Amino acid sequence: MKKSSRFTRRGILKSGLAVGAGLAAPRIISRRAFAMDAKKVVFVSEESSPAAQAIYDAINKDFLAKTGITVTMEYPGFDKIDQRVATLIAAGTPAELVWYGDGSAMEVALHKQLAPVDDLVKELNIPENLRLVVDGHDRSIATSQQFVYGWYRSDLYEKAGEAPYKDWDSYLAVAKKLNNPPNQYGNLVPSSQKGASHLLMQTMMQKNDAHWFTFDTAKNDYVVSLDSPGNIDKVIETLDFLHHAHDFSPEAANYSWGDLMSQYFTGRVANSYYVGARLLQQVEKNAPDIAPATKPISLPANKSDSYYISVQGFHVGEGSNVDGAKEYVKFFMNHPDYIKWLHSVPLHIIPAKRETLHSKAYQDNPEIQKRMDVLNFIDSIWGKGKPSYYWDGDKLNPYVGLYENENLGGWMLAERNIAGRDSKSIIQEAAAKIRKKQADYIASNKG
Amino acid sequence: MTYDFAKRWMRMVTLLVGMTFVAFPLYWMFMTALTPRSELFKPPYQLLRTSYSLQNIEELFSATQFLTFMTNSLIVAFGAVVINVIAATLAGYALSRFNFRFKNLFVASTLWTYMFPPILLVIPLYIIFSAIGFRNTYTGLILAHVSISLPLNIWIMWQYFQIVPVSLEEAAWTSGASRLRALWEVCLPSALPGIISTAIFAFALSWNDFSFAFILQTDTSMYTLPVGLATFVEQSAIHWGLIMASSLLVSIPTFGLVIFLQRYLMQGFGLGR
Amino acid sequence: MAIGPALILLVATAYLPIAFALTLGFFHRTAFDPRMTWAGLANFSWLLHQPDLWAALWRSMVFTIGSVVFQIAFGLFFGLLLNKAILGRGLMRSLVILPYMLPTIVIGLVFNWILNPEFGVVNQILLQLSIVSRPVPFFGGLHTAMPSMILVTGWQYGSFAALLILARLQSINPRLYEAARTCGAGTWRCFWDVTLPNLRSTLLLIAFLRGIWMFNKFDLIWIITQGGPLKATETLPIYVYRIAFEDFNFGRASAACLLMFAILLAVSVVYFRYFSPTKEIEVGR
Repeated sequence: MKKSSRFTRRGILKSGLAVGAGLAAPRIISRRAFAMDAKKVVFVSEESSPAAQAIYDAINKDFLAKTGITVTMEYPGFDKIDQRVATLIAAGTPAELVWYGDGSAMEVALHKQLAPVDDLVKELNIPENLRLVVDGHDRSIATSQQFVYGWYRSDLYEKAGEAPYKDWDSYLAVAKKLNNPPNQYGNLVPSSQKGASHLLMQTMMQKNDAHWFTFDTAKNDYVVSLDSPGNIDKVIETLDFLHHAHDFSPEAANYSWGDLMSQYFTGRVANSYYVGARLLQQVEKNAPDIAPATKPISLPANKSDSYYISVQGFHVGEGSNVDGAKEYVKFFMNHPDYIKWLHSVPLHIIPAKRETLHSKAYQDNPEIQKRMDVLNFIDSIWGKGKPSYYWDGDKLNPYVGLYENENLGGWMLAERNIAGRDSKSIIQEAAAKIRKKQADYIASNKG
Repeated sequence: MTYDFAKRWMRMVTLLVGMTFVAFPLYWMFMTALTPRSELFKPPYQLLRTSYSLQNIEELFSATQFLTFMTNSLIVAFGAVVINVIAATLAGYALSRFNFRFKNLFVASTLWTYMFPPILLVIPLYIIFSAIGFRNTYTGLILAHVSISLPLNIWIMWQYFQIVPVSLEEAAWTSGASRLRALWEVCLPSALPGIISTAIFAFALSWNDFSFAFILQTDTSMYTLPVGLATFVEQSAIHWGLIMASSLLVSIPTFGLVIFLQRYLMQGFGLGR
Repeated sequence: MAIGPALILLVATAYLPIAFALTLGFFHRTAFDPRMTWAGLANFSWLLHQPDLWAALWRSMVFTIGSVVFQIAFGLFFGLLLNKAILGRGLMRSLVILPYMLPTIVIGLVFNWILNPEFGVVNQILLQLSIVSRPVPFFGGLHTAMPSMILVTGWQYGSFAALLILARLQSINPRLYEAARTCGAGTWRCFWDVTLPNLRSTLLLIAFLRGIWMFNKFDLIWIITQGGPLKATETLPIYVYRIAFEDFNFGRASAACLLMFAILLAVSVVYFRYFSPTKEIEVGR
């Protein structure tokens, strides 16, 4: 039977041809292979709740009537939107508009794939602390924001005769008191390399004046300071605090945001947290009996009182139908349904401007009226938070993706709470990882 | 007599224990689909319940495009099955009966395509399909699914044609039948279990595919089931009730199809078993 | 000829994209910059120096071999038992095949739901029967995550093996069994001397095909654990995905894919040489 030798020779020949074809392919299909259509706008949105979709459809219809431009919506889903944006850009068909978090958008901006939108930011009066300035230009038009704060069960507190916590010590004390596994847990400390854990670590670090980077004026750049003397003690303190809190939590070794909420629905959790009020909205749907007792509270502060802000906004793809996109953004922000859009997930999608929060139009919504306590709470902590790329200094920190993309804060929590390592070695390893990635990043950008 | 009976009884019991492992997740899926949303997160759960609620199923039809997703999935799967069966049968037959120059290379290359991790195929496929206008179409997705299932099916059909002795065909030829006719009337019935297997695999691969459907279908109205189900996750809040209800509705026709097909797996040698 | 349609389809839908994807490994290419600069072997040397790569390779081996063994055992179990005439055989066969037909996202979410330590029904049963004193974190435990993953893929894909084995068993000439019986062979000997040799090529085919599929398996692991906890279930495909869509470096991800491809190629060469799957079984001539 003719076997291996012929096979290998022919095989190599054939693969050679294939490789040649493959090498030629990228040049054949050039970047702007698809003609940019001035009458089309592709809008990729992270928010896909049915209510939001209905509003997009209505606004798009009006936009078509006014300008003749068709808007095509895409809803890839919260955890797939980065992949979708990357695919579209890689294929040479960048989307005109992407609505999602500025943290993810910053990555894209640093790769020079977002068009400058300074004119729109000025015209629409976007608040200063919500701007995203990369390479000297605004790259995002902020529409809304969310903060990381806590949620607690006031009925469980009352039953135990406890008052809500004020600082780190009282937090641990009350979590311990209300902890009675498996019927009730004092709090939830997800400890996995996922977003929910990472944001918890990030926020608590912001509550303890602990930093990831510091701006080095000599080098005129940000350097990793996670393990530098003076800062490392604060990080250790934070990690140990969360380790202690984990004693009063289910193991939660692979919790995502969804699991965090599902666990809360069981009614067996006294304290939780979320990046916004979507938790409350989901509680109303899945466990309506505990919704009235679910109340917002600021996570406990120690050396500083900040919190993590997640900014969302419109981002315009470089090389797409930029003019059409910008026109749409103006139309959207001035359309009367903009308020309705904010209402699609009430109290969770918080307007970018404080005046909008106070406006009658915004407050005129039954769900908001039912829970004015949440609105007043949001008002009371307004302005105290910072997005991660402005936490370490006034200048934009372009390196936050290096630790955020892989949820390094969550990794630290997992190593501490699941693998049981000591805080110092974890932090040193994390710092080394970020340094290596930073060197890699700088080197590959020079080329 | 008693020994035989004990053996059969033992066989039945062992089988039932195994079936519990297979059936329990399905059973729980169905139970959860019929649980009203407010009770979904209140453990402990009763294993046997007589109460049920159709709330989730109603919501599935009224609030989502479930039917659209289902229809799309069916169309794409059907196309993939038809193309797979025809192409794989022909190729498998040729591989088992003929010896041609590039035979080894062809066999090896089908294997190479099967071996390539699909995750990295999505971007090149997206670029190529966009260039030839197959993006967001049924044809494009069917072809993409064929690309992953065809290599596998060629192998399976090749295996099954090996079992059919050439003597049977030779008998047909001496009676004056053409090669194609002999194939149709003699080989196919014997290789029928193989063809059924091929159809099932092609169907399953197409029905379950998420990566290609996600990348290639950009319009919500063109989404297949897996991609559509992913949209039930509303920014990390999972609509458990909808997921379970949709899995219930997806499983029932699939189950029916499978019951119908598995009968044909029994036809083996054509010796009247 | 007869090969024609198959060949054309494969070239268009598989060979070309694969060729393109393979060549990416030799370039510097990030997700956001369509420019590609020649990198030669830089991506490969970077990869081979990453301890994460070797760890992922090890986990891929464990996962692949573990799940293939489990699936073959599953297939033999149900194939043999469902071969004989038993009451309700049709129904049971259909139930066994059903998991294979369900979308992976459904299976991932359902098992997440069932095996959840806090409100999953399996832990509830285990606690009620006092088999364990604390809930078992199936997908969260460092040592239970991989076995649980193998269990779930076994549940989903075991029917593939069962199907092929069942179909093959149906084709075994019953006269062979009669002949063995008249020579005085008992059940075990029948199995060993008649069934297994006929099943040999099928079992090898299953092991090979499933081995490749499990080596490349991505979606189920990503849906349930995303490679966690602490990378306990991070196999090579997960590792590649992270490079591609978390570090956004397509060049390196392609290089890693090439490595995976090379490994499978090597295995297939060994398979062809030593196991001669093309050797045909003499059938009643």
